[in-house]
Amino acid sequence: MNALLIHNDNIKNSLINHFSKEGLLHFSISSAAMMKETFSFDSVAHGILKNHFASKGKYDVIFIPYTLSNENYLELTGIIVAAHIRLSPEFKNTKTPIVFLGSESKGQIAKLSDLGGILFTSGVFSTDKQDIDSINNQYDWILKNKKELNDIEYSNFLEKLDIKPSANHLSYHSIANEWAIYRWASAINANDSDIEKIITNVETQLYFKYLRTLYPKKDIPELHENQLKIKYSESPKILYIDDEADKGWYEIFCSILYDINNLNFSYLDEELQSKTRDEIIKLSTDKIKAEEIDLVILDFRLHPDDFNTSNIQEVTGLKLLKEIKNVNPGIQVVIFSATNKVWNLQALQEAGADGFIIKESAENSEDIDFTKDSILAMTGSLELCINKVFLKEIFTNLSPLSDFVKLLNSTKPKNYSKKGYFIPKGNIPKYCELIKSCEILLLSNLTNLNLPFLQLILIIEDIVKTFYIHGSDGNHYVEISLFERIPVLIKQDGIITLKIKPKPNWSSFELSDFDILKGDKDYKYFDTIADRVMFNYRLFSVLYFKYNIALSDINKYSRLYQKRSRAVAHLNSSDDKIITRDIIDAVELIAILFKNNNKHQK
Amino acid sequence: MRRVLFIDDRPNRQIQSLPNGLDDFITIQGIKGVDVLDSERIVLLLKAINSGIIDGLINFDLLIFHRSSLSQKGIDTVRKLCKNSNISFILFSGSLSPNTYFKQPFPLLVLNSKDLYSDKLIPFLISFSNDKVKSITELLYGENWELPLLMRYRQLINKIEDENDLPISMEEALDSLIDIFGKLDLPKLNKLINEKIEKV
Amino acid sequence: MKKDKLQFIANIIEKNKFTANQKERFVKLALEELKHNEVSDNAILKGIEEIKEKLGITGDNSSRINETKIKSSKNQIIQTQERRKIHDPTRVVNWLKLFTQDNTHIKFSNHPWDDLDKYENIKVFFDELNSEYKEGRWHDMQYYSPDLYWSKIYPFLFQKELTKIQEDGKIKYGWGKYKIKIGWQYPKTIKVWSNTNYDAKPNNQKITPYEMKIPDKLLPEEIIDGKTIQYFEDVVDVFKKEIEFRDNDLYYSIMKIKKKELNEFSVKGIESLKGHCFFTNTECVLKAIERIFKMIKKRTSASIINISAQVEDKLVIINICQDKSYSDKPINHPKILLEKGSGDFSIITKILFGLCDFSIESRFKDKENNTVYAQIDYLFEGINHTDYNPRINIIDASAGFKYILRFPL
Repeated sequence: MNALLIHNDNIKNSLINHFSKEGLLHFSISSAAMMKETFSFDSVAHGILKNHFASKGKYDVIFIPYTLSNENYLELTGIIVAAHIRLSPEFKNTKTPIVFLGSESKGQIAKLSDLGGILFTSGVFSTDKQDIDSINNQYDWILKNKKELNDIEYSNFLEKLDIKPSANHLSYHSIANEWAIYRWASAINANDSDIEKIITNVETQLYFKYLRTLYPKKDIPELHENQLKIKYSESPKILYIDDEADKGWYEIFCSILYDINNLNFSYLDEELQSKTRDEIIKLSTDKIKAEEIDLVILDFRLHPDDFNTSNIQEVTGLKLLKEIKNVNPGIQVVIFSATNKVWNLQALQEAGADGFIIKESAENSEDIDFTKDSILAMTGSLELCINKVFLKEIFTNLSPLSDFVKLLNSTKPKNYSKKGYFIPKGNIPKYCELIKSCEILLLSNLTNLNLPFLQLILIIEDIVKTFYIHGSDGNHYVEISLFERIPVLIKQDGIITLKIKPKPNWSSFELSDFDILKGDKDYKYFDTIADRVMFNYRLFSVLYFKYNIALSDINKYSRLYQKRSRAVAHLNSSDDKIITRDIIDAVELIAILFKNNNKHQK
Repeated sequence: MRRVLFIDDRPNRQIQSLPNGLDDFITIQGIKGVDVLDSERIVLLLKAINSGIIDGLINFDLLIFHRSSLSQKGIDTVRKLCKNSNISFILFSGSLSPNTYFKQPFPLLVLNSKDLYSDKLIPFLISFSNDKVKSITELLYGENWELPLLMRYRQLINKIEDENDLPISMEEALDSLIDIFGKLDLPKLNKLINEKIEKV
Repeated sequence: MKKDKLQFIANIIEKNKFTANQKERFVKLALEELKHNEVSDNAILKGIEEIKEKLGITGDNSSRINETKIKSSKNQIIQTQERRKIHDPTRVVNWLKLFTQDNTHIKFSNHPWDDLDKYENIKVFFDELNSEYKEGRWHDMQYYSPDLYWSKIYPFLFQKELTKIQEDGKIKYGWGKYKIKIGWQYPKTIKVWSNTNYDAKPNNQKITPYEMKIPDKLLPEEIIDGKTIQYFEDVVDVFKKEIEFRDNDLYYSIMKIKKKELNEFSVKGIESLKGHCFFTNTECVLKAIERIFKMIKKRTSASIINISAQVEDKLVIINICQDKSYSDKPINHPKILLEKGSGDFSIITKILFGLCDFSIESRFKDKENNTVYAQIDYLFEGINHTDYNPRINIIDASAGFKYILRFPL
């Protein structure tokens, strides 16, 4: 008889003795084994079965009592062991007929066991008889009538089995994490001791065996290194925040970011455990500030409470995202989450999330390309964000200006004038709007910086226009105050005298009068109303005569207007691109223009 | 009165896991004989246990610990104590693993959090502290605690029928079942078991 | 200096009239001494070899010496067996108590290693065990309870190699009631397994020998006491049951014998056997009880048996009394007095020797054929196994034929 009897001495001795040594598996777990730190029934059961089947082939029939526990019958561990055998191809008996031994009916057992469904699938029988003749008859009958499950019957078995993971959210999150890590590690061929632990778990736990049967590993498309390359010019400072980073995600990110792309990163994990939500946020933002982080990969749920809250605004990841954007809206934040809920993603987007990495859940794995797609989406997202880290520098400069202008906007006119600002209060709201537009444009997914730049240039133009005025006598003046103005362009007897002398390319000036005679090629550019005079001359005049900025210090702003013209002309072009430096210079210039006149302060 | 020590090293997790959250936590704290320490004392106690010191444990009849709160040394320390003093031990965790129970060398129940933090927990704790619990498996099965014992009883009777004799360990097991249920023959056992399964 | 030593040795051997054996022994001792004092001095060792040659202790003579050695070993064994054994159950129990004493290493041959940094490797454990063997003079146990020592303790714990008889194949290695084929130090299975699974691993990953799966060829043929043996821990559990009655083992074991032998009898008080825990050679005790029950069975007219067990003065006293059953034999009957070394009482006495004091109580006839009640002590303090007579105490009355066993705690 090519049959296997699995027992724990709870079957009649005569029956045990009837089986050959090859056909006997004594299954028992000691209480000492249960007290091991890493104990799990599934891994011990897997180990026992693996040891046995390693040197054995296929059996024709497997006999198992409903329970293999002598202390607590209702553990019904025989059924769990049967499920292991059905779900483990390495045991070579996934489709072997199984006969359960016990006095209970199938219906009764189904009531008592979560896995009871297995009893109503093809190739599963039961008997309350343990005498040798009955067992032999059962064996012969099966051999004659029902040798092995076919593929359709096996699929039906999987459907009926329907193993559910833990109902506990925290555990479910852990399980989902492990599944996702396992799938990703398989796709990118990553391995280390943490991933090894997960692979062991996935290979031994019944629920994972079930998932692996439904979604086999061999179907996961492998990704080659060059598919995971991220293009970037400068290496940003990356921070990975996840209270479960040490479970395997750290290694995945090491593989993709560091090994393949040479991108170093720091991380926060253990430090977050046992902290309150506020402490987590503070710890994270402190580190971001201290290390001048450019890009954050942020797990959505960082605190146990996050799993039970229905209000997404309370979730730590979202709150932290908002805090990070408060520190600097230019810091790129990529959210790492298993969530598939649209309103969660929406809320995150509204809070300023720059990208998403989706953690694969079991149900996603039905799509065999999901693993590959989510990894590629992740590298794509990261590439996009890495190439936007310049925004941090921009906002480092822009945000203070923005705050300042907003403050001015909210200051009462009387107080405003007392502080002696040059810019008329009435203009402030419009400049506020322009700065806001600039910010919004920067944070939207623009392909170039032309539009945000233009917003800033408009402010500069307007301010310059305010102070470079056309006199009634035809001369041009820079208005120092309401009562005082300095002539900067004098027309007399056909000669236009400029009060600062241009250097050959008109991008810098020196302090000296400069006469342009009628007939000179430049005459016509200055024989016009104030607003039409070349911008650089007006800018330099205002900055020098009104703001007392040294001419040599103004030079760096001279190219801004050139860039402005080209940016307007070629709005969507990348020719002579507006670069970060241009925006920062523009911001600086505006800041200068917003300086107050200390002389007027009482 | 029998004393219970109930430790989850993350009290917040404990509160969240209970069916009625904080309300249940307060109820448990109020059960006479049940100790649920505050965070500071938990930390001190766990440190001691994980270093092999049992002083804080010797007056209890039942210890309930979350597995993550104990190192291997801690588990071994508790195990030694339970063995020597016949203290019952419930070890729970958030794993997927099925529940397992051992009666020897001391009553040990290893179960997952989902089954610990059920609506049977509070009635069990009250019952245990009033010395009304016959087996810690009642935590799992509540009113149905007799069912697994009756099924085991039947299993042993079936074994005797064939072999006329049981090994000593099983004789002892059968005797303790007879102590609880009285001497029952197979037809009676079948009837009882069927009735109980119906009610489940 | 060295030469002087060599000369000294040679002179002693030449001048004194040593037998070949004695010469051999002397040279060996001298060699050991020299080795300790003068590290690897080849000249010295060579010198010794020369002396040996000169004295005819090497070469052709070695086979003669070996034969002599074997003969003398055999004689030694025979001598051992014939050496007087002393009945001292307390002494035996004191050895066995070491298995639960906290500060011993022998305890950990019976208890799982909770502390994984206790033994760095298996060699350390074996060295400690063997050290305690010597210090505790366990070897002497054979003079107090030979079966316990040779059948259980020695082969399970201390035996490292096959004995000559086992090597010859006349008997196979196996210890205890079930002749289990694996012990701690023989065969080398535990050592080899531990090298990989215990020694070579960091502390928190060490797997102790208790968790070793027994290789198929060393597994017992049968299920032992309802349990399939799989791991070494299971084997250790069997050993523990061989040297101690624990919990209700005594009660259930005797119940089994009672069911087998005394089903037709009314046995009362057997419940009193519950809970008595004491160290002893359990197999032998049960054999003796079985024999007692068989003796009781022969007397069908007296069908009430009273069994009691109580603790008194650090003794567990078991009384088995067949009510209203009397010997009525002459008190000086050879079988009563164990004269011919045969008969039930003789056999029971031999089985229980060294384990407990053993007496019977009944009604006899004296020389004048008068009825007399007496307690006859077969095993009592201080006797040796060959040279004593049972002790007779006249008592007032007896309820029947009583067997009394006194086990020290």
